[in-house]
Amino acid sequence: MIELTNLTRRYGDKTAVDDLTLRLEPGTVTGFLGPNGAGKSTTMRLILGLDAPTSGTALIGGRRYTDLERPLTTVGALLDAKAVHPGRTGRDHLRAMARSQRIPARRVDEVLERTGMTDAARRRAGTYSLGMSQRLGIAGALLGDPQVLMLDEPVNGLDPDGVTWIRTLLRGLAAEGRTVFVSSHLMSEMQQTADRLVVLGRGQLIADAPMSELLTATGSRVRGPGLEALAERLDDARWTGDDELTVPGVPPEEVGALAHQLGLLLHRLDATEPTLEESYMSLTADAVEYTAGGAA
Amino acid sequence: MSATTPQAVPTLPGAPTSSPTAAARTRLGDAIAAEWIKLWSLRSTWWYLGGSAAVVVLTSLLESGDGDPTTPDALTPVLGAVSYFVQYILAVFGIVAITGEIATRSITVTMACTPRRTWIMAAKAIIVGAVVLGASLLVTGGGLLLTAARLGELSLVDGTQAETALAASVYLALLAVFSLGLATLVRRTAGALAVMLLLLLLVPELLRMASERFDAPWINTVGDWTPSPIGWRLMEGEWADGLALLAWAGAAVVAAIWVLRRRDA
Repeated sequence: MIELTNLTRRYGDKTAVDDLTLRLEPGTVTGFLGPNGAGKSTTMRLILGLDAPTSGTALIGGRRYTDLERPLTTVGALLDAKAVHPGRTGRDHLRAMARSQRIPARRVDEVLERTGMTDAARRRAGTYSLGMSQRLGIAGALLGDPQVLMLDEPVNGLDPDGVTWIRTLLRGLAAEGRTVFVSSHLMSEMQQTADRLVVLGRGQLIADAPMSELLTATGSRVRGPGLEALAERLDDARWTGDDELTVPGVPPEEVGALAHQLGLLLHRLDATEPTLEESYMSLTADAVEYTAGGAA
Repeated sequence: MSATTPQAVPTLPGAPTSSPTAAARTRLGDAIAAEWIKLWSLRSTWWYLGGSAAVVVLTSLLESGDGDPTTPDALTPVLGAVSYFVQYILAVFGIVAITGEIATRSITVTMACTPRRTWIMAAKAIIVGAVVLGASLLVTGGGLLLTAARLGELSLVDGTQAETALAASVYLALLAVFSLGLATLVRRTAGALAVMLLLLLLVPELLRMASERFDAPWINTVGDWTPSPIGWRLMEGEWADGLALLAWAGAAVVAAIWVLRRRDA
């Protein structure tokens, strides 16, 4: 269990993490979302004691990371997949990590097997693709069979198979009662993996809620001539094409009934899937740090 | 070093240790063992140590000395190789033991494994010092024997010469540890090497010149206590002066620990 209390970190006059209070529970995958520069990685670095907090505390099972004995057996983390010496083989990298924690060397082969890195691990890490580096990093996080896993953008660079694999892995780890904390900027991925979402913007907590609360309800997309009358009756309706309206939160049955009532001709009427994207965008709209011309 | 073979290790999770001191010893021991694995899993380690050996062997074979096998001058080629070349190679070896991790950011993994940074630095210092000491003993000892063999007089290698080889090895080991500490402060390989070159080559010479120019012998005395002149005296049998070198290495490591503990990874 991870407990952050008023966690704050400033770098000069920039506040990277601002008074963050948060509790991460065992048995759940908590997704960590936020625009670039929101402080997600810094938060994870503070939890691992890599950076020191300006104020506040980050505790794992009631203890600071730096006070943990054999810390990898409590917390497994992947913060930066490329933070491996390129001249060392993946296996030697893990062997050194294991030895520092008195984890038996055979465990190295187990985690390599589990991450599909058995063959690649004999090669030097400098030759790895980003996807392979991610797998090696995940192997390192699993090494100590820890109760807490913390992964920063683990899906980056993975192929579609790898993405599915990691989703299954994280769900499985949470099902075993572990605390899983994972950041990603891929919302569709988060939507499928996380039970709970923590959204950060400019270092501050914007949202901390179960996934179900953040998903938009099923909505509708409707197409046809003269839908202005329909748009007037539905507050949230937006034009998404010349003669296309999208109506979040209102199921197609209701939209169809209303159109019928108004005597409108419809060319098409579909349900839109619940999505995280919309609520995320509205949550972070004010907190986007780097905005490229209309993107983000 | 038995560190390569982890003995009957308790499995997960944390096996309680009996006392804080015992726990600390364990943590340090584990950190040392991990550094040992890291060191030998890099090809560059072999290049540094092999390069040092090659330099000594070549100079032992090629440098003629004064040709008189009955005098200590028979040692000249080995000592020359040590002071002219090997010390820089092994200084870089000490430097990259830390800058190699800083540059690749793999230091964050080391710190996640061993959050008490004092242990990280202590383990690195012990490994660098021990490995350089061992390798230097082999290399200088081998160089002595080679020189003697070339001069056709194996019996030439006596206690005094063995002592000199030991002194040279102690010098190289402490210099490598000093380089490690210095490099932790400087953070970059090139910067740390530049400082080392200045300190070993230029500073003693500049101080000597300043001392003559201003007719102030004390300036020269300061220069005498920089690492390379201490090294020469050490090799001449002034073992007590070695303590000053130990102080250089110790101060660098203490400063490195202080900085490492305060800095963000």
